[in-house]
Amino acid sequence: MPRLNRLILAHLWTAFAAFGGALILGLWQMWVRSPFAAPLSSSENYFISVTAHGSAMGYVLTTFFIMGFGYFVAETALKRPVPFPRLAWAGFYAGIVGVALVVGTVVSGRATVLFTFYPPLTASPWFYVGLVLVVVSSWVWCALMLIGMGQWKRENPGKSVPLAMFATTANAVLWLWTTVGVAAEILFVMLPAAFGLTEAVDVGLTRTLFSWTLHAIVYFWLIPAYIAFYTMAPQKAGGRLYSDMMARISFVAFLIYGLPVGLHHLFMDPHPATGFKAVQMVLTVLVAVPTLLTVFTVCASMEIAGRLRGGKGLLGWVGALPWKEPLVLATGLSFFMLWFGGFGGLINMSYGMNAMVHNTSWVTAHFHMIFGGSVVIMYFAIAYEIWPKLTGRAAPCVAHQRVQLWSWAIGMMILSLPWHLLGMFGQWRRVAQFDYSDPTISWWAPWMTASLIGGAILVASGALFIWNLARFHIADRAQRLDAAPMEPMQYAVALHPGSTPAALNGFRLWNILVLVLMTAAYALPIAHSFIVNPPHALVHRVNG
Amino acid sequence: MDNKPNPPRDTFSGKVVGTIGASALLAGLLAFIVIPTVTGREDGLDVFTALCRAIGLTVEAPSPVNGHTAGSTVALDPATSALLAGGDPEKGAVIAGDVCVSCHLTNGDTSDPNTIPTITGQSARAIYKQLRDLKTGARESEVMKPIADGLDEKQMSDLAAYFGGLSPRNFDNPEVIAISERTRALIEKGDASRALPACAACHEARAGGPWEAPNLTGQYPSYIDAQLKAYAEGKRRNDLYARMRIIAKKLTPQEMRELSAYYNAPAYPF
Ligand code: HEC
Ligand code: HEC
Ligand SMILES: [Cu+2]
Repeated sequence: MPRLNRLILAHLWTAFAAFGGALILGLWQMWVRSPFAAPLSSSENYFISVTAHGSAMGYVLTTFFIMGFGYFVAETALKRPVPFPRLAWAGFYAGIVGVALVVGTVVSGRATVLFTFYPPLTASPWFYVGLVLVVVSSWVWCALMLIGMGQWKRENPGKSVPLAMFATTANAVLWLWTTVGVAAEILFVMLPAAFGLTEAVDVGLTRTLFSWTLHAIVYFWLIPAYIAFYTMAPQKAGGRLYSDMMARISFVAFLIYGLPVGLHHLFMDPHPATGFKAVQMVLTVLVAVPTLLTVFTVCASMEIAGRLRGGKGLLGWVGALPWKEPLVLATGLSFFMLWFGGFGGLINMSYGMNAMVHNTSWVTAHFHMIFGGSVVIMYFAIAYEIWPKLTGRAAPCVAHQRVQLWSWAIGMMILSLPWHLLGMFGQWRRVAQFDYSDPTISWWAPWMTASLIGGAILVASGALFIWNLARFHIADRAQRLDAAPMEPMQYAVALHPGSTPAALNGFRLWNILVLVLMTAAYALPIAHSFIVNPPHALVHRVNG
Repeated sequence: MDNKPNPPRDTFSGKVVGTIGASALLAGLLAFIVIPTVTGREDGLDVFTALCRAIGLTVEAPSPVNGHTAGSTVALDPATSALLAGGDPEKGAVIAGDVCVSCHLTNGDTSDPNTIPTITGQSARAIYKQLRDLKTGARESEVMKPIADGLDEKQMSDLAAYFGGLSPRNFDNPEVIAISERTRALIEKGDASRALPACAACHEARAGGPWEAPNLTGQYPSYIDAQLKAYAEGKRRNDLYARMRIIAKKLTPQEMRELSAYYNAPAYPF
């Protein structure tokens, strides 16, 4: 058992508790939008719910899961204690206070600004304070990851940092860069507005700052899934990691190309100059590189596993893989959803096509497929993988884990494919209720019903997930593994272990490159607001 | 002395920096030079202007082909809202009695429904916006221009407070006017096939539309019709973001007539 298993479990259970609550809200939101009358349906409640759902899924589930998993990796991959455990606990409690503030303000209707808080809408100041606390708590985690990796390198001169830890630290570095945008927005614009110190905000500036964060945050969420693809799935499948170097390259590529591309979220906004939109669009195309590298490397690693297990012929290795292993199954399902999500992403990042899907349900459907589908299913699989190590007990029932993963993937497809379709036909997002008696949109009803069914499947699957984990804790003494200590966590070994270029064993070069690219991509668009000084929008308070 | 090649890691860093630099350079070239020059030419911009616009150096440079004039300069900023909040209706009433009464009557209604609008039932913001535009010339009117010229900011806000506080006029035509289903749909739902939003989305009281959108209910048909025509022909250009010009250009004369008639009846709720 990792020494910090209580800390790790505290983080992961916080994440999954938020997830469980948010899931139920998600179903209710689908119900409100569907042709069937939902209880408590009103636009006020709808926007309270959407804000809570988005904040819980996008900020609490992800951040706490990533921190918990990061501590786990730091301890098991480096095989040394995480530095400053007390500080880690302090960070955790700061995050919990932050979550409590966010929940309190949202539920009391004082922060119905949605989780990306569209200024000039302005929530209760405590909503932003809560978010700041969550971010500060995650900065503590980032610092501990960097210190841990640094200490290990000093203790092991000349050796390359284990891939899982290198990737986790890459994520910490990415996150430090990522949060600069939103932190500046909150500290310099939203908090002064929320506390009544200013009466108007420069909406263009706030949106530009938020866009700094908006794309990279998605990679922050995604990287744990990629860590599992590279370092855990090949191991479970009984194979080798095809190339350690390619893995490292794709993690640093996420760091470099994940950041200077955020303006692709503002294609339809009037304030960023067209040249910067175009630059960031081209750079966005390059983000496809690490994704394709990953698809290639992970498939190759799986092929090695399949062939080692006796798979023959062109595709025989696919059938020979141990699909009964939840982690292998989840990887397959995640890749499957990644095709749809990736395709949708290509549409969104193309300036012209983006204009057609802008502000439609297509966008919401897209990020549910790629985040709720491809990424979150890997969170489940990681949890199933590490829970035995955290609790010292064997999985009570692996079949239930498989059912859960399958039902999640199926539910997500049923939820999001019709949603994409309606978006393509112009269904607008951020709308609470539709009038299905109107002939223009009455044909939506069956598709919305399908999405609702998908949502119900997801809730059932989510409940099974929580149950699957809870059973570890309430398992019989007989299933305890205290007597025969559990094997320590094993990460996949590279097929050709060789020396790693020094550049890929640290972050100095990458930080310099990020600095240069971010300056090129964002300095002028941000400075623009101060040079041009566009009209500011009156603060619109929604805090009751 | 042997000439060893650089250790492999250094060539690696060099290659990476080279690749990333090249990709960024390519992106910059496309975004700041190629695309602006090509699309700028279609819009009739010279190369220099097109490049400046791509970087954001010239924001307002209008494209001569698709040009919208800058139009109104009114913004609902903290200064404007403070000004409006300080408007004194009693002082406004005095000016109204002195200057406006001959045309708009003391209750804001018209002395000639065919040429002069009623200005009752409007928000103070809408009235102020028009007075400011009439004064700066963003909205042209031979009759109102000299009158607006004589008003300072404070007087405009007093007048806005006064007229904005008056209740809507009594309808002389209490009957619900019959209009075609199509036009009713245009008002309530818009027309997606022509990308026309619903008039009610902005012009109904509490619609949540733009702050300066006037209330149309009770307005005289000849005035509404004239304004829609003026927007459509680009003669009235003070609407921010060309909102009304874009809409009015798509309306047929028949629709304009029906829309005008519609608002002159109490069927439309305040
Ligand atoms: C000589 C007649 C006359 C006088 C006096 C006059 N107005 Fe007007 N007013 C008009 C006419 C005519 C228009 C319509 C202009 C147009 O067609 O563009 C108008 C338009 C307006 C409008 C715009 C209404 C809308 O719905 O867009 C406002 C506001 C207004 N007047 C306020 C005033 C105020 C305040 C005064 C007194 C300070 C005043 N007017 C004095 C004739 C007059
Ligand atoms: C997007 C919001 C919006 C929609 C939709 C809209 N309008 Fe307007 N309308 C405005 C605004 C804002 C103004 C004031 C423009 C200005 O500042 O001069 C205006 C002005 C007008 C005026 C001039 C009123 C006056 O007192 O001078 C008329 C007439 C009008 N609209 C008719 C319509 C009709 C008819 C429709 C539907 C076909 C419509 N509008 C749809 C926003 C809208
Ligand atoms: Cu993005």
